[in-house]
Amino acid sequence: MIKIEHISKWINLGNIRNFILKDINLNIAEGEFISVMGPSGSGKSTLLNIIGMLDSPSEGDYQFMDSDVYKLKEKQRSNLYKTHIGFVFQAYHLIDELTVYENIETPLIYQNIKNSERKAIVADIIDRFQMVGKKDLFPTQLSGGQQQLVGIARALVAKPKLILADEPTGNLNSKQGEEIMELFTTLNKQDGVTIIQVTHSEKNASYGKRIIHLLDGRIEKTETK
Amino acid sequence: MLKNYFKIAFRNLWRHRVFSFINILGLTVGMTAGFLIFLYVRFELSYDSFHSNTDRIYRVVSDIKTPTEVIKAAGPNGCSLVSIKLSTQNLPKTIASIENKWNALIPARPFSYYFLDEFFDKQFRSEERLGKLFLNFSVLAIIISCLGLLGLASYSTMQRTREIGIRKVLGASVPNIVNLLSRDFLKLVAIAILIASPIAWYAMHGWLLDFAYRIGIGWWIFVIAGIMAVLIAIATVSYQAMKAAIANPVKSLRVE
Repeated sequence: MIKIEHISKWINLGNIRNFILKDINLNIAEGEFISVMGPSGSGKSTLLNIIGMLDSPSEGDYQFMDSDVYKLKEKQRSNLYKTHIGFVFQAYHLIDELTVYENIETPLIYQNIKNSERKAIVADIIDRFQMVGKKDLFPTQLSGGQQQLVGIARALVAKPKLILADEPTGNLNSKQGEEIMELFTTLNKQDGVTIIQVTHSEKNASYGKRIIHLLDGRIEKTETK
Repeated sequence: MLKNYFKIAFRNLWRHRVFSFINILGLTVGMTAGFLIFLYVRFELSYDSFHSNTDRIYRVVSDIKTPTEVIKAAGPNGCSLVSIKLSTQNLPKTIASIENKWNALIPARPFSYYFLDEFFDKQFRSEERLGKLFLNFSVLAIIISCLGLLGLASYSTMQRTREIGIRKVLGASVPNIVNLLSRDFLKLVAIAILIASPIAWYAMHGWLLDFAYRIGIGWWIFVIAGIMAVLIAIATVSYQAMKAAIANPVKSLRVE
């Protein structure tokens, strides 16, 4: 599903080339659950952003579902990304001005899905996440764990094939974190959603079937379970 | 302590360079316009007061306003104005003969004359000048409010950077974002038009009453003015909105 070849990203500071990622090669099949680990500044988030097409590398090739991402036109790329990729963030990144319901609905609006259809899809996912009672609340009225659940529901609402999670449990306590990781595992097993998560904690990383260790922008080692 | 405050204030101004620049420029234009209006009004209200020997100048005002009041019979005692319809052939000679008769009849008063068409011309020229003045000041007012709008737009996009980033990650396109940001300002403009239209109508109505022959105020005038206001506002806001929409969401969503 994802094929990354010789991806490098650098920043030029004066004459010195500062590598954030250096010659990364990665193959990810559909239905995998991957954890990316590494110390701060090792390029985890940048790699995730590149896979999520939010950022572009300085060099290298990227194939997503058999299409060469960097050869696509802007519009095709954004379409590909809108329909197939969902994001989950450490800081949740919900829109404070919108209710839980509206937050979850937003990705569908940008995919030009009709109002009636949208209602059905959102109602479905709210039901599944057991948030019916909270759908008219605002994000600030929820606990961190609940906010992250909304964040995941929002990422899932467009039925993406790939979920990218950047330290999804970073702001949560261990119990909430466990719930989120259980949810990811179910999604991966039952719905066949491919998941790539960046994490600091060994325990959370162990939910993944493959663990990629990054150090100074390189893949240090890969463990497979 | 005070020195520190100034240092931090200047650093802040420098950090939001564009925003500070717009605000300072707006304030400058506004203050300049204020001074200009003040000076101009003072100048218009003070008749000849800049002349040396001001106190020895007298202004004679007659309450004759319309041509019909002007037509009065000539007479040796009292009347000062005579209106005469002349044939335009050999005008200088005709006037010379009238002057002779006047001097013979009323030798105590000097003979002076003017043509009515010139008089009307002068009157309309003053209206024209008023029109020009209005035009200048309204252009100035539009510039000032545009700068205000620009300041407001850059401030609100600054505040909404995170939301814009999130929306982009969720799949919003550049037009989506520009639309989102501009809509708020169009609401403001719409409210302004609603407030301004009745006032403008009232003022125009009052001014037009001064004229014997006048145009009507059609609703389409307000429609055109409204559309122009909206276009100007869009042009002002769209730069900031475009800038925010094109920016990379990765930067605005970074937590560290």
